[in-house]
Amino acid sequence: MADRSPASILHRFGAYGDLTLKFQAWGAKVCPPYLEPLYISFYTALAFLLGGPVRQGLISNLKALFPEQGPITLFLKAYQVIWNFAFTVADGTRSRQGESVIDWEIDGYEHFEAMAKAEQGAILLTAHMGNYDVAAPLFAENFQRRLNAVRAPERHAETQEWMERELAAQAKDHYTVLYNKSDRLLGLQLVQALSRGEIVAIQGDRVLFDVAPLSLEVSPSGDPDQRCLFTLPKGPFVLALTTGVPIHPVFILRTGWRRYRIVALPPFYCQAESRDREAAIEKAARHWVDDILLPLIRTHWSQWFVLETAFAPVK
Amino acid sequence: MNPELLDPFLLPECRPVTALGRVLVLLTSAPVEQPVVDDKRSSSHFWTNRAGQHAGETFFLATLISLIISALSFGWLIQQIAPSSFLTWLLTFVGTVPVFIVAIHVLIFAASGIEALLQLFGIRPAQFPGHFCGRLFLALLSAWCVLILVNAGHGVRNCLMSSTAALWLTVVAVNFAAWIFLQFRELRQALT
Repeated sequence: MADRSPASILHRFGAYGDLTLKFQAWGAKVCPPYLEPLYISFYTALAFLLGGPVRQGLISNLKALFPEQGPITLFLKAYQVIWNFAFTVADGTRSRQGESVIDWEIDGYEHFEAMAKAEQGAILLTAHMGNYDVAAPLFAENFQRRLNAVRAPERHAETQEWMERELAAQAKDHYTVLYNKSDRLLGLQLVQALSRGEIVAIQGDRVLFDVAPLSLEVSPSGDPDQRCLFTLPKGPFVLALTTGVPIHPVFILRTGWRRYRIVALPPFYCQAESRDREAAIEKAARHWVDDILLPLIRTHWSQWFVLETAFAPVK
Repeated sequence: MNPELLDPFLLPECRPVTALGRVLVLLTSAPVEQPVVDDKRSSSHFWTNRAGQHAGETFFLATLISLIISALSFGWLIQQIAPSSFLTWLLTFVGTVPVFIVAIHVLIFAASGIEALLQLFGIRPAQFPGHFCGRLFLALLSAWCVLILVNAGHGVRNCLMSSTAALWLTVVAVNFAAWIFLQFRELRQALT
């Protein structure tokens, strides 16, 4: 029987609760586009002031990226991240409700097209930026190849159930959502998909739940003296090593009102030059983090929606 | 890529929502050119083909409605509190924020309720979610302004509310005139 205690209901109204998401989806149903900025401003401020852990997580990430900046600047920057996140969520909800509201542009079209034309499977490695839930089905439609998007399950069972229903509603012939649950079958499924020439989309900037982690010492600010420990999922690199498919870094950036830019960068491989597979994985992961992810996050910090502390101090 | 999505001329800048916005575009603009991409790397655009999402108009409307409701909230508080000292004026200013928040929520909940009622009677306009409810929201705001004007008393305290209501109703009237103009234009095009 469902838990109906006041604490449980309050919990469902939290940042990751299903009632919060349902209320937001209802809001998108009744709110006209020209009133969206009005309501989003109010609810963003409310969520930012009440959501202590999220705010602290954001400020801690921004402090690692910009150690020279003061607390007030970081506080305002954290608000800007939440503001962007709110508009992204609203755009995503509207798209899921059947309205084609987003304008897209592609940067690095040649890499994008190469991925679409290749017969070999590919790993599309991305980060928590922009509207990946809306972009993934669009990619699948344009590639005319099956795209398997890997998602971390939601923190609460009710939220997971609701999110699965919502995403199932936008299911397309070429698009599948796979959840990284603890049943250990996902790796096998993904290897099979890549062997069939399909695309696997994974987020490579956050580790949640039962995911194999890989910790790297990085300098988020670009200053070699300011080093932190950054943990990312090992899975994409193990998959690339096992199957020999290229890794395509693709990011989605919000550039304005209902407008997003897809940034496709040149692909790279995870190949073992000796018997040391771990060294090959670390080399590829280091290239991803040092040369691709962190420079992009430093430039587009307001679009990086990792709401937990991502950088830990080096012991 | 899907060629239907690769039309660089269907930019959102030329697709306003309101009749007034459409008339302004008609009067002022040549076809909108594709914007120059700010960096030197290769970049292609594929814009989705959808109806009005004019960014400038959207934020203009949001700001205008915010200002109108803020002014109405402030005016209502002036009527209720009748501030005379610094403290009461401060209270009126600070109190405008919660009154504004309550007002926008009352309007949207009422609009949503009316939409639900109309749906019960089988009235379901073929519009995307939020669009019909938005029209009801604006209709309720206009009705509120009409009531204010009808019941407007004399004196400085009522001045802010009634002038704000008059301003909003002027915007509504101009938009209605623009709509009539567009209808005549379409009629003329259909006849020629």
